[in-house]
Amino acid sequence: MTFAWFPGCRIPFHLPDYGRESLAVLAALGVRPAEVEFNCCGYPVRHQSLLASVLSAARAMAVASRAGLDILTPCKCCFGNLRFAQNALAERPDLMAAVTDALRPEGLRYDPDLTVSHLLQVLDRDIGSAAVRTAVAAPLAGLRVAAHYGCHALRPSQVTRFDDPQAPTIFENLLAAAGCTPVSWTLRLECCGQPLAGKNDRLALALAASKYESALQAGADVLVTACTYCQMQLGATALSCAVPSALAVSWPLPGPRPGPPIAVIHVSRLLGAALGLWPLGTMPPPSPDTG
Amino acid sequence: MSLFSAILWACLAVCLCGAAWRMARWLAPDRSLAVPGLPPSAALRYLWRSLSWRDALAAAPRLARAFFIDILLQGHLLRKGSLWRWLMHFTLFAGFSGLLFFHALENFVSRPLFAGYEPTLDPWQFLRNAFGAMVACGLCIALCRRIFVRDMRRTSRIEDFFTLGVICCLIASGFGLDAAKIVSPAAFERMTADYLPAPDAADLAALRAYWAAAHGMAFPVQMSPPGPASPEALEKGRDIAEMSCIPCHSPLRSAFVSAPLSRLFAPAGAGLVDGLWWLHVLGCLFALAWLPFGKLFHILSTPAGILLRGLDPGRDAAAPPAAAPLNRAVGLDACTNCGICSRHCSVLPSFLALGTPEILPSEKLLSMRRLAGKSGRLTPAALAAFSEGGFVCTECMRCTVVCPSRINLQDLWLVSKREAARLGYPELAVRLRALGPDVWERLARTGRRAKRTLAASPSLLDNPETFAHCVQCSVCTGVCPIFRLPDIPASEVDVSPHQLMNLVRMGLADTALSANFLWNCTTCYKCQEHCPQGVRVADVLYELRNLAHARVEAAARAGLLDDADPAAAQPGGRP
Repeated sequence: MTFAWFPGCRIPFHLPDYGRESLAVLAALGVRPAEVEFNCCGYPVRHQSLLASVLSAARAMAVASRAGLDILTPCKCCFGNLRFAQNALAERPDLMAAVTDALRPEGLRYDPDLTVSHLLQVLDRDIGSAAVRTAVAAPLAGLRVAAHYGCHALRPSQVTRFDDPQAPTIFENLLAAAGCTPVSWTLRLECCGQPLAGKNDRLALALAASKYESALQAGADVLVTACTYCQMQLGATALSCAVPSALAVSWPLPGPRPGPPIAVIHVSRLLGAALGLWPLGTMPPPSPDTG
Repeated sequence: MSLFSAILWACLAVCLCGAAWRMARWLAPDRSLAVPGLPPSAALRYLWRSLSWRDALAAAPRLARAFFIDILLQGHLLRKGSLWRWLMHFTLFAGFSGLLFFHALENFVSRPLFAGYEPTLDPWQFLRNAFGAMVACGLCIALCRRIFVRDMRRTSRIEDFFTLGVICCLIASGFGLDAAKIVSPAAFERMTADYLPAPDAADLAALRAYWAAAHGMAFPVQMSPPGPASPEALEKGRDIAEMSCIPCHSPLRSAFVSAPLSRLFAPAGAGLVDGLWWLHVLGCLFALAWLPFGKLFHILSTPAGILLRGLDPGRDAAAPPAAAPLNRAVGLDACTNCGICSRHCSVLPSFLALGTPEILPSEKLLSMRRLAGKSGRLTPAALAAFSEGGFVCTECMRCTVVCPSRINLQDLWLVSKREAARLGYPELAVRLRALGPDVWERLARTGRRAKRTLAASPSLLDNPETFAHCVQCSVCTGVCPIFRLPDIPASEVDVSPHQLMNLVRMGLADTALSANFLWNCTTCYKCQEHCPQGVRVADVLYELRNLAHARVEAAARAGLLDDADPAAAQPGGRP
């Protein structure tokens, strides 16, 4: 297993813990991805320009190819966009020609055979749930967890080929291997609302609130994410750098954003605790005025 | 007062006033750099108040290390840049400093400190050549990098080449002057008048013959007899030279640049002494006067920024301290346009595709400096570009990590987004929400004049097959997460996904672009995943957004967007 670590842009500033802890968990399970300097995956600019997005993804993949490595990312939006770009480049010769031209001056070449994997896939496929179960030192027995799948890895399934888009199991299997009890909840495959954050905060927060409510109704103690953007949106620990703007719809009024009524942690924090790397810690108590 | 000292004092005054003016702007930063809720001018007070003796003592070793390693030895260039970058800058810095202190300020430094100092004696003669050669070496590397390295060429500006040109002029005129003096008969006559009190004609002729033979000095015909000098005369000249000249003249081979150069100058160049002197001196004085107004100011601002920078730039950017405006103002001045941020920028491919220079950090910083200098008086086109660049940034913090001037760029970019939004230029998607179908139709008509780029030539929208199988079953709308939310105003869901598909199918893309819902799609792809007919609903929505961006960008570039200024639109989209 030779992977290049593709943390994605949001980790170093917004969510450094997720990057650090993911690498620690992977190292404990024998996977040590190489550090390579990548550019953005192109997801954030995809709604602005398909070419900019696909060129970004293709350049990142070409950088990995040059190093002879496959890509491993903890972010589902990065994963989704890299897979989307692979598909778009295979589907549209005009894009492929434009990208090839743009990469040539740097001596880079896009290789369609590169494999892009999400953290969950590496844990499930390359390491294996059985190996994870063996490595678990402090099983999190009795912890009821709601696995939040994240849209861009799951869909469009023909492009991402992540898991069954209607009834995925990869996340729950892994959480069960850590000793937790995954709960079945209504909105587990739904959007966290992050794509609208800063653009339409009212809708973004309403989507997040509906997710919290659904997880709580299913009796979950913890909502677990496996995506940088989802964790930024749903978690309380993410640095909030929402941009105040005259035109964006803010909710409910200017002021501090309400904290989540349920603990939201990323998958590596949970797995690391199960592997005995660090204590899970006390979950922040639900705040009474939201949810 | 001589002409020279008049010019000297005038340039010194310009330099000091300019530096004071720029530093005053650090102490009273522009309001665009303010921390919300705090007056920017109070930054210095906050910084002062936050300091205690204990803090100062604790920080002293760190600051001392930063001063020696990062400022004097420029170790940060080696850590974050490359060996060439460090070699380029360190040779420039060390050579220039040596020339400044031991040559330009010789009456204040070299003469009082070193007994028996003479500029024509070693080690000074050698050092002057060595320092000059170091600067020349740094100049060559800098020029080659800016011309031949593609990423450097991309961000190089006229000012960068102008600055290199000024330094080049100083060094070239300096070496030229040195070389011309070596072979200058006028300099010889001045020296003999000073050091040979009562020369007779024969002695003088012998000395001339010796200097002409030994140093290639070209005396005018009337001074030296034609034909080669006799060995006796040369011998006599050497004796006189050893008595009167050599104690103050080291052998010329230590002047390893100017001596070989003097041979090129030999016959004609001697007359250039005065001209080269004025060129050299005026060049130096111009550089002095210009220092506060160009990138050379980084000689002061970059060390200040390095010493002021906090321990954790990420934390300072996330929760700016009260003194942040001061650091931001210094940071804006500390940029040397070295371009390293833009070379490592995460969104460099977006710049390559979209072509807006402000996407690159080094260019965005220039806009921000203009914004902070003129209190937001950027033209609408410049503001639109500034906003686009700002919002394409993914806040990955890499530029902050690699910046050799140690500017907290992350903090500046968060401010840039805030300021762009405050000035009516929030993220383009937010502004596009507010445009009605009439605007989209007009942009479609006028926009055709703009070049059709790949991004502006959608493939799904143009292809009837995309929608051919849509039976308007509304499954896409049924699974849409926005449509299941309770208590959502009707204006947010003005058009549903299946209606959008139908609008586009009927050729009413302009109406589709003006739907609030288009901008409320979370791109979760449930619609596309669940469509029983295999219509690529979410991909079409993405293409519609791409189309909207392309049209507005093309119109903005063509200057067609003035009367449809999105900034004037109502908040929150159309009702």
